[in-house]
Amino acid sequence: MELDGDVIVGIRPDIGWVHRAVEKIAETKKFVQVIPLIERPSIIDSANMNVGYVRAVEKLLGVEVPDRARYIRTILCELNRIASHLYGIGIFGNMIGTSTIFMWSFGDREIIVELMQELTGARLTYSFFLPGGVKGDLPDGFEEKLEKGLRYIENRIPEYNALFIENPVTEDRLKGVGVIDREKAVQIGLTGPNLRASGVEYDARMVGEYGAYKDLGFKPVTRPEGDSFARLMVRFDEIDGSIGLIRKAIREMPQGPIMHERTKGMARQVLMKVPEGEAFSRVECGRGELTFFVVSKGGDKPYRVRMVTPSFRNLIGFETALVGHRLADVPTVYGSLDYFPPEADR
Amino acid sequence: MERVLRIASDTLKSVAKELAAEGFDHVKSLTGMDRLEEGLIELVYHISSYLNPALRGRIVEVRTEVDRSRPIINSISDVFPSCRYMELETRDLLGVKFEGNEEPDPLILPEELKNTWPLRKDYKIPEEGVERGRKNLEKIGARRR
Amino acid sequence: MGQKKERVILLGNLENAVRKVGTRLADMRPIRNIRNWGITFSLWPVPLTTACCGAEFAATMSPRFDMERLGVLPMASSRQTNVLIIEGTLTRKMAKAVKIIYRQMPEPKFVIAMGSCAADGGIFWNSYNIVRPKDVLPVDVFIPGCPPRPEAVIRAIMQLQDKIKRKLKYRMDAKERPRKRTQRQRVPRRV
Repeated sequence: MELDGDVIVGIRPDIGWVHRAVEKIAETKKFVQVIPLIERPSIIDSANMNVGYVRAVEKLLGVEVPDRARYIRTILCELNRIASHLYGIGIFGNMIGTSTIFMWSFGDREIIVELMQELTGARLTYSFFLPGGVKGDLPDGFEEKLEKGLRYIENRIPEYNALFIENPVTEDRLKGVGVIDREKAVQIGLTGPNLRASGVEYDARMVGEYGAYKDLGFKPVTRPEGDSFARLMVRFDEIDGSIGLIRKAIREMPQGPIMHERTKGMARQVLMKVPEGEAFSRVECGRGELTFFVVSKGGDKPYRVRMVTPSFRNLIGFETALVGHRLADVPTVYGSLDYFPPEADR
Repeated sequence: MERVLRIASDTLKSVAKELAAEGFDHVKSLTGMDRLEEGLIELVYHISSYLNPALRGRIVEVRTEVDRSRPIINSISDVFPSCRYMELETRDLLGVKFEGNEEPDPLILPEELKNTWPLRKDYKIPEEGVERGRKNLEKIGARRR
Repeated sequence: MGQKKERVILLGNLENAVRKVGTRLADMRPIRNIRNWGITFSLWPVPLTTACCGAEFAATMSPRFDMERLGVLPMASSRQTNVLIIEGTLTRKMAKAVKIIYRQMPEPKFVIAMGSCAADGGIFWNSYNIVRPKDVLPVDVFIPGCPPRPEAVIRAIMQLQDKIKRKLKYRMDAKERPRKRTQRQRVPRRV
């Protein structure tokens, strides 16, 4: 950072501290073995990354996912989105200085993580989606537990409101800080809640190539201001939206198989040879839009797996948002852009 | 993929300007693929639009190739600023030089791996298998049966 | 009568003698037990989130698996900490920073390696950009798992507490502290 007294004049991001070369390792592993590998960059959001890769492989294989599997995918992805937003809010609160919000949001996040553990068996890295469907069905009694958990989160949001959002300290520190206006946000290619907080109505779930969002009727939430406060509020609004989507998906869940016939059974998955071709898929993670480009040359290992994560695309947002502000505004903007280093470096 | 454009590497900038005039405004991803047998590095751009409602949700794929021994191409980061860091990353990992987007230090690689271009196909990393296990046994001095 | 006589008492090197007596005293059982008990319940870790296991470490700090009841309180500067928890994969760039932080910590200091990436590479074992923490720092406790559950992290802290209570001796000189030689298979060139 170049500073002029206390005012920031220039910024040069220095990333690469967690660069683990996922793309290079993915060329040495089979298609199914790549799934845990690409989940690890954004471990708090891993179901969405899983869906992205699995969609690309399904396009290469030419299989279509059964309906029930699509709804289960939607439920797990939305639960993960709530957990990821709570993590982001917690880290944001910690950076600003209120460790109460850190404790609250991590405690609430445990409810969601317990629900996901009930469904998949793991706390953070599920590997629940395979090319062709999902691994297992909803367990017995899951709907009641889900409803209890969602109701708890719903009743907690007004408490966050009273303590954190309607707090004059928070409003002073966040309003008007780190403004990215609409044209600039589009030009630099921001993505996710940061983009929607600048007034652009775009969400990769709208395009609807994965999950059951088209059937459930999804509409993104936007705010026009573009400052850190708007980015925080968009995340809270998205939590509300996700709760509504999950409830609707549980009500309208169709019956049927959860895995396509051609890819049923672990033996078929492991020995699967994917025909030659290329596929591009995009999903909406908690932090933005994730794109996958998978190239196969007809073997059992991919030739090239390319993933562009939302934190990597949001990196330019720092330069735009921070220039002209003071040094003490750096934690505010950093937390509101919700930058997750392992995701950016892969 | 609805629209795929295959172009020569020197026309990249004019094609980018045409796409910007049509209404596309950001680059979603830039992939570099190393084709060792043909001696080429292929670059694939995925470009889309946020603001134009007719083009929203559509992706244009722009493919171009550069020679592997002399990989130099024009940068389009003045037309689409969103691909600046992606170009720097491709320069780190594959060695493609983007004219107009130069930085002295590598972006995601540490200093000691500068100019080693790990994502190329001739940069080998160890794979799993029986062979490696046998080498490990020899290294710690187990006797060969 | 006023004649002052000067007497010379030969003591040897005073500083060395005091040092030896002090070390001897501090190592005697009652004082050693109290001292080690104090250290075990105030292990302050450096807030160093290396990679994805940091999410589970943050969850260990959360109200559900409270770490503070064991005395573990992060959020301090690195000059006031005892424990360095390497959470997750250690890349080359990060290893240089970790070494600097390790040298900034005062004695006695301990290292916990969390996750399977910290043990022997984990799922990224064949990456070109990672190092094994045991080649860089002397590690006391390893925690397996990918990522390890918060209960496993608490168990590791309790194991470290056990180890301190049993084995930690008082040394005024940092270099003399005995450390178990780990088997070095491959030392990186320059980290």
